[in-house]
Amino acid sequence: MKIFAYETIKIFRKKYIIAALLIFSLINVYKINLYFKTDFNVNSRYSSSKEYNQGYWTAYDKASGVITDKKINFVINRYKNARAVVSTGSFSTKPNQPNTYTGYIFGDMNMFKELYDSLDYCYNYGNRLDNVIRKAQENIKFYGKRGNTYEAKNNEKIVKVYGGRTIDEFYNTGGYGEFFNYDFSSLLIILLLILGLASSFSLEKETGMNNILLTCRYGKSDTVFAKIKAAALFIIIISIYFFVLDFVCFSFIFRLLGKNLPLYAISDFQFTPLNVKIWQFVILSDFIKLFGFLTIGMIILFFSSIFSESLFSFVLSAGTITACIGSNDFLSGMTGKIISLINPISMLTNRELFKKYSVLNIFGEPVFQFTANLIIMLLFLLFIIFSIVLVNKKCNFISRRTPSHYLKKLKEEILNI
Amino acid sequence: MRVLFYEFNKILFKQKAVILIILFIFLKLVVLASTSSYSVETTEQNKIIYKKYLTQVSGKLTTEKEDYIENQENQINEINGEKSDVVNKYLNGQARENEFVLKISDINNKLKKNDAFKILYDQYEYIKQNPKNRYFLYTNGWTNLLAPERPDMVLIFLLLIIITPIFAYEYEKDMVSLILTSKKGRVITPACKIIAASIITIILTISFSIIEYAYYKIKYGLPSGNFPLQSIVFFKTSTYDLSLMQTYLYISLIKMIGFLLFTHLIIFISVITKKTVLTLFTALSVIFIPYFVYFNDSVKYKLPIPLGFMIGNGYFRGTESSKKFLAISNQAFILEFICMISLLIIFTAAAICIFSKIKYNRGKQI
Repeated sequence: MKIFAYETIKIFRKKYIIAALLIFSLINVYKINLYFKTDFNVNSRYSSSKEYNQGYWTAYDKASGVITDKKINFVINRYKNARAVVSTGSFSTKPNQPNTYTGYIFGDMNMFKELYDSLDYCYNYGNRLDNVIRKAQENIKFYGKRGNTYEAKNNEKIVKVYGGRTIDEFYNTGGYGEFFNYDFSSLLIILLLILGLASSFSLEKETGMNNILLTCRYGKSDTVFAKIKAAALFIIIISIYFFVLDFVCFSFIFRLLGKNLPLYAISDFQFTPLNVKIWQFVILSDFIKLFGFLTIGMIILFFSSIFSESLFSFVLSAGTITACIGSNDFLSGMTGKIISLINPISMLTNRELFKKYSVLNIFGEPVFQFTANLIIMLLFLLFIIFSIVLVNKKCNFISRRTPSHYLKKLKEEILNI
Repeated sequence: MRVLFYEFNKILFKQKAVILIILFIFLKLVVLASTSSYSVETTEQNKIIYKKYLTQVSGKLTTEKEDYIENQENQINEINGEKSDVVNKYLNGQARENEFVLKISDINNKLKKNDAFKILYDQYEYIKQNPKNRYFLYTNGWTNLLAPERPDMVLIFLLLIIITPIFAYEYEKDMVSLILTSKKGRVITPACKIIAASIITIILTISFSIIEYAYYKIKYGLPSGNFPLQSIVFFKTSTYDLSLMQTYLYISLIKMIGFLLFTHLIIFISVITKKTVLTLFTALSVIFIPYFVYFNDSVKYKLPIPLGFMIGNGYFRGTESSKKFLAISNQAFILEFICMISLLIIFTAAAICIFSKIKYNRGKQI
């Protein structure tokens, strides 16, 4: 326990890590601000037209909440009326017109169309899925007759996952939609992890401390485990700090509404196989991200333990992670799917795993792609931790002591004799 | 001169940079082979027929070429009409199956060039918008060579790994106090180190540019380098009156200055922080963070950091409202250029000053 505490202090005592953390926090806040200030988005408090925005939220207050006929009629009638006026062509283009929400009749038409579309999405969600379920039930019968048990099971799963889904309430979930798409803080966390962990084993070798450690009572595997545990703690603290920072920044800039709605209320996630609420998904997504960061951190530790110079461990870690980001972005199709199984970056963009219904055939059982991804990533993480321990047992795996070094020593000894 | 020679020897052979350079060149080829995102799949699949078309129309759009394209379009439309006739006849029971199969396979053979023609026609419509400076040519090679909007990651990592130890190791291994006591240690040694680093960077940047050129020349071909820049969709609204080859040369030159500044930035940081890890981290952050903060924005070309020059092609683009890209004016480019050159001088001077002044600090400690 004591070694673990010392190792943790060792990481956090580096002043530059604290400095980098502060600077990166500021950059993160700036990025969230900049990105959404320029984007036209009705959910953003900085959208380009103030009147439109105000009108939207006034009308939204009347339409949001539990979906009732009254609210639907309000939106539809308003939209139809505005459209009727616009289609006649005899509408005024002067600002602040009476009996309008946005100040313009044209603006009202667009705004109520937007409201109508999102209300329609919620109201008719269950009906649209009924078609999918009906098709799946037909498929179950069809494949059952043909004896294709895998496809029959797969369709049963579809019925089970999508059956009974309805959205009873309407809220603007655009804020959460943007929140789930935000990735920049992951880059900052990765950079901090490289900074904090790239030298944790290699520095011992660089300064010759590893020889002293080996002579100590707890200097072998105990120290290695303590280092791994301290690194994990560092990763968890940094990640949680940024998760909280992101959430706080987003709740300042956006209206994060509808946290109790099911995840499929966000149109990006309409076919998600998950039946969880939005706030539950926020936690789940962050948890999976944390898992990805742990894997990345352990990869860095692994590189740190095979090299005796921080330079190489740093560049190799950064290079590997860059390659992982590149392959996550560019590779698609079957190769992309297979590589994503051991690519920790796919854990950081985990929303992609939950957007579609995607199953793998594993021994005749339909298994969700994300379950397979998570299990394989867990095995990969354990494998890397095992490798770190193994490499450090053979303490000078790739150090400056090359065979020629030993030959030279031998020669010297022989000559001395 | 001898100090310079020793520095080269130290960097290239003692620190085994030669092996790393060979390794990274190999890596560069692997990256090139796996990430050619700008090549259009359909163009590559229909390359042979498409190139046949191009031999007819290559170059500036003329009325004859327009006639030719419209002729071809009519021909294809006729064949399509014929096809629907045959299908309708068969469906109505007016033709026998054998007859139908024979006819339809004959028509499908003729229609093979349909996809290739579609590509040509899209290009024709693009050129028709501004036929003065948009020419017909095979664009895949040039687009891949000129349009990637990211800095060369392989070269960045190679430079980090080669340049960082030049000063950082002297500090970490406490060689600084030894160097400063030697006759040429105060100014000449750091100056020679910087010169050696600069020469290596210039050679590496040029060779990486040549590798890219050669790779795309072999893979896709880079025909008609004298055609105007705007022939490529990426530069469609560019205001410069340049040929493709000229643009490539200018971009290579700009990249060279950018990477040279990057090298000097690494040296400057390593002299200040005196630590390898911190140098690597800061240098990488200075490039990566602005790149991702201003991902699709032209602001990244105007910042006082080497990033814009390391990418290079943004200075030649025009305003594209659909992509929210604002063109960088001539004045802004000149300002950025002056900024780069002055930073280059400041970094060099500061690095030498800080390196040589360390003596007094050490003296106090003793």
